Amino acid sequence: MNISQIIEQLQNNSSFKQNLTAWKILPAEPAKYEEFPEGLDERLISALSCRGIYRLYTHQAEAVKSAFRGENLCIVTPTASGKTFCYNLPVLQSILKNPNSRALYIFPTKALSQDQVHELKELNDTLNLGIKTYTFDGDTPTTARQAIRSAGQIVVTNPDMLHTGILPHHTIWIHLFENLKYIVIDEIHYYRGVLGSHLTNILRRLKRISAFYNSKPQFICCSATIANPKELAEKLIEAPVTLIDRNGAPRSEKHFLFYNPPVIDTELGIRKSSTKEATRIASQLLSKDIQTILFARSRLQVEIVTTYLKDMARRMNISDQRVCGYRGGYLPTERRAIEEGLRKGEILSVVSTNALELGIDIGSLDACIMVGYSGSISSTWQQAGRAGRRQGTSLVILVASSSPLDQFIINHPEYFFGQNAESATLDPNNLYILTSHLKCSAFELPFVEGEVFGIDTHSTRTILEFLQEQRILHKVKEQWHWSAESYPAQDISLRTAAPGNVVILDSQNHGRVIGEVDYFSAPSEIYENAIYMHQSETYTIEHLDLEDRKAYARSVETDYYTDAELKVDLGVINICEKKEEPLHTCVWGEIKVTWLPTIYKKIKFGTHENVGWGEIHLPEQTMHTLGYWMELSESLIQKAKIPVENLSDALVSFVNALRQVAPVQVLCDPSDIRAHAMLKAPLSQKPTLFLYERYPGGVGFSEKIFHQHYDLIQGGLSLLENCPCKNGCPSCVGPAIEVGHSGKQQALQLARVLAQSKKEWNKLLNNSF
Amino acid sequence: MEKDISIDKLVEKLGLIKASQLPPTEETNKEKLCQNTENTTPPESSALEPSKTSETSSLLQKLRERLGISSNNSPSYVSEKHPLQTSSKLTGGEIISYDTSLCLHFSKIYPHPYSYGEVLLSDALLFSTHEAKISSAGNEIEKFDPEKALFIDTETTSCFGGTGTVAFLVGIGYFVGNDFYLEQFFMRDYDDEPALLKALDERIQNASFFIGYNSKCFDFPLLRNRYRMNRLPFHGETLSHFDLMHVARRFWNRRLSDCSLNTIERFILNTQRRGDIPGALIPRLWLNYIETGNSHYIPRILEHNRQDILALAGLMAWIALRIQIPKGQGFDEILDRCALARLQMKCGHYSDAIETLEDLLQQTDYYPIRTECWKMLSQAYRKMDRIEEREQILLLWAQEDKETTFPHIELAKFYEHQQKQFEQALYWTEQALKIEPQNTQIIKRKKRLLQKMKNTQYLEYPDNP
Repeated sequence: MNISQIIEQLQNNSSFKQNLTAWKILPAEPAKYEEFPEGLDERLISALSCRGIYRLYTHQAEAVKSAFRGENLCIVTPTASGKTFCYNLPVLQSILKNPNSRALYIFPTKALSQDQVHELKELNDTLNLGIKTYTFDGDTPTTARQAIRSAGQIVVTNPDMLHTGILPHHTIWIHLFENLKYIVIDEIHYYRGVLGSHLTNILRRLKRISAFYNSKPQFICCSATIANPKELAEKLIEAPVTLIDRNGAPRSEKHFLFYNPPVIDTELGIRKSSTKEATRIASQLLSKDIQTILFARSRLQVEIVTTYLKDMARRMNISDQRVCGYRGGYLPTERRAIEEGLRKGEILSVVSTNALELGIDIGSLDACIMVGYSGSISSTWQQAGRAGRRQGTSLVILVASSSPLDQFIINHPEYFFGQNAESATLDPNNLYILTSHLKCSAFELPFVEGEVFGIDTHSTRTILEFLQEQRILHKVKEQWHWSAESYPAQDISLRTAAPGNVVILDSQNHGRVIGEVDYFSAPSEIYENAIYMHQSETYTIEHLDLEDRKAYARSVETDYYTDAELKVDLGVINICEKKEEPLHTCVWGEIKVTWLPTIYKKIKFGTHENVGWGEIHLPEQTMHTLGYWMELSESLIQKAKIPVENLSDALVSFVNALRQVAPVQVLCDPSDIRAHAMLKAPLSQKPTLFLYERYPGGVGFSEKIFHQHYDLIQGGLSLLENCPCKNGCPSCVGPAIEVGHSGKQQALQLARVLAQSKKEWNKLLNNSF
Repeated sequence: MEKDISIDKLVEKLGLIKASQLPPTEETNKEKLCQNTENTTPPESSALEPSKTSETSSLLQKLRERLGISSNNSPSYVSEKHPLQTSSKLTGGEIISYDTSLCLHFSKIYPHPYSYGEVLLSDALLFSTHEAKISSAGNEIEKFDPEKALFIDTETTSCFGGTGTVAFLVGIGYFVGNDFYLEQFFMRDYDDEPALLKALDERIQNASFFIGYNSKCFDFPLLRNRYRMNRLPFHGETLSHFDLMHVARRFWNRRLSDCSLNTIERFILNTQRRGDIPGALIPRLWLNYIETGNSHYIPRILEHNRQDILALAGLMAWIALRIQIPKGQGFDEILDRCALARLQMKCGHYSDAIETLEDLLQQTDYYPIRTECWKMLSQAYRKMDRIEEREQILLLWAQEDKETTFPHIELAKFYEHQQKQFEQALYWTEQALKIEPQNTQIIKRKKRLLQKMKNTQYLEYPDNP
């Protein structure tokens, strides 16, 4: 049965259809072609013809022409539209014309760069061009590095390696920098927030070095659909960019369905589990031989869905080998095998985290099921793009979870389809990031009086003088020289993850490596007695050795999985802005969060009931980040008529509601923001509600919320007023068992008083003028 | 005292980076910058005066606050000086120039006969192609001429390398006749670098061999970086490079815990420097000097560098003398002789190696050394096709050594394949089995031998059923 027949069947299935809130059909689009652009090397043309390519899609031709004109470009096209040609053709052409010519490709992750080299090698082989393409990253063996430096015509790397391995050693990369013609930056939408700010500064350093070697490379950027690709590209490379966003690749017809699992308990407003519903739908597709990708929200969810789906496959007499999980933490070889299996069609269902959202080549699939809303419009489209071959029809189903955001999206499909993708923001002149990279840059080349790095001459000089004062730089004859014994790039990490993962070893199987978990997640995922799932195999963790970054696991048969509970504590480090409002104060600033996994719950597969618990004994972890908080005054509590004994519940309820609204307001991923309530905050001694950012260092959401403070309260108020539940549900303040029976009501009172007092205040102000 | 706060420590202290600190250049959003602490100064004051100065000084203020230093806390040194004034204290130096750049040049002659520790420096001139080949284990060097050798050592601003590291002092040494000449080029500040590089390159052009200690990984690439950074030509690439640390490792990595020049001086050359500055302190001392102009420690850095270069030549002399003496008897230590034999083997000097090894076997009854000697000896004889001597060696070895199966198996192979004496082969196989009864390889060999013996018997007595 093919996908069109499945769709037809679904259309006639009334019990399925009654759970749908939207059925959107995105029409097919034919391909738009253009002849090979003038000036394209004959060798390329004939080589392409050998591959059966006699013309280009319009966007490819447009990109090539623009590159030939010497412009910087940004290409925005959906998945599988042949975007790699857009940069590979100009790059190959430049190398064919002059074999000394060099290009640098920057990909956000190692996995992607390997994938890209693989593809380029294939192209190179069929075209028989003999162009030397190499990946240069942490995995590159020392013996190969010399050859790559001198002979690599296309060097593929990532920002981290560029930052620590290439730029500070530019003199040994002289062949690259002297002949650098193109810099290709793929997946630029990935570089938002802190990472983006870092990248801009790394590119500033790169441009300084290129100028030293008298080369002026051209930039080709590629982005997934976001609201402001041109702006982002221009912010990253700090030069004008030509936007190429008219896709010429054909598009198949796509059916986009919004599925809301049915309510099974009307009183409590409890819906069927999205995990189970999604798995059920996926199993039906599996039985009809439809290649499907499922996107889950977390690694744990990937494993649970994989387990269920493998189980169903076996029951339908389908080999469970055809169902696979895919997520961070799998070993690289394992991942390559899965990608290969998908391309060959040996794997029918793959369950993934957003790891497969990026441009890893797995070919195109027939259907895509999202288990829960990803939290962002652009990544939802990106995930949906995984389904859809050049011909035929494809099916995308979003299965909503009971989380409030999911419920909002699923009940407002017009919001989703009408909304622009999120815009990416970054702040390259963030003082700390800027100063860090200015240091690195001074290490690479001395600064000359009057030079600009980032902002303008004056501020550049100010920072240089500051570094001079700190004896990091030394000025002589109008030049600042690096004059410290250290190697600055080593101390500045671009990403938040602590270096090194914790590997999980099978203690029964000669310490075979099963998988890995990043250092920060280890205490809450692989504590002693935790159930660790890998490709739906269950292991119990016998011992976690954080110092040596090893965990020992033993294979077990269980009918439950474990979920850790964290105790979180907050402290304020620095206040950035503060404003007094009627009855409360709101603030944003730097905070310190410590968390400690305390207990774990054992949760039964299938029924999801709690079947036991245990204690976790591990040291606490600390993170510095940005936060926004509200200090509530005594009179507010009184006006809202909240009895002292209920205050705690009221605060938790209210902050939960605010946390639901905030991601929609600042357009971030729901998991980017965490909430915390305190009866007595350490500094002010007042009841305080915290919303804080999950990333070390923060990315600026708190400041944004601070400036939209009343929108947040208004949003929270309308969420509370419109939620049909009685005493609280997962869609608003959380279930009553957690927040008490009066929690929701009191949160509503707090919100009302706050909104009301602001109105009165405004009236007062207006009257006084 | 020295105040040494780095941004890294600050970042470490703060946890990480704070987002959105600076306003974009176009919109001069002043409030943001000023309102960083508790309550806000009225925004008017800064908004009225949108001068760049207030913006950036507040930026600087911010950095200072983060570091916990008050703004009036002036730096701990006076930066308005130039080392030119203090350079006079550096006695013996002369200023040399290139373009607009000047650097200090020191030279010193160590006339013959000059002893470094227990060796005569001029004995390094005995180190010719033969010695070079042996000590580089047969690779790297085709021809060596000690008169064309340039001993080089650099003092740098950090031990990490990378483009931000500078060689502020480069010392070179070479022989003129039997006298040893030592020259040093010294930067009094960063702008002296072109003069230093230019002068150094002239000396390099006159030499054919670049000799240093760990220079392949450190000094040489660093110098090449410096020339590229200054866009100056560098003729170092045309020299043959001879890294004495690699030589030292070949001789002593089993005997010494490390092969730093310091260790070699103490345990091999039997010298110890007095009042020497620890190498690890040197970067900081020079950086202090350029900041403060205080040249107090510079003469000692210069002396340290001279000692390093003398040690290089001394080490070469030491090795040359000992390699020259036959049978490895120049070396007192058994382990060194063994190392020499290894190098002779690698160079293909088998008859020399045989001499060294046979002598060594008479000198030592230390089991691991003996095993290694036997093994090398049997290899040497095989390489030279001296089959009978090899058989003798293996027999002697097998007689003596009841722990390893190696000689027994070698004998078994020898009798089986070359001599076709299966019974002998079987005997030695069984001897090997006594040592390692579980070894499947040996068991297989035995089976095969028995089979072969059966076949030949059959051939010899065809009538026998």
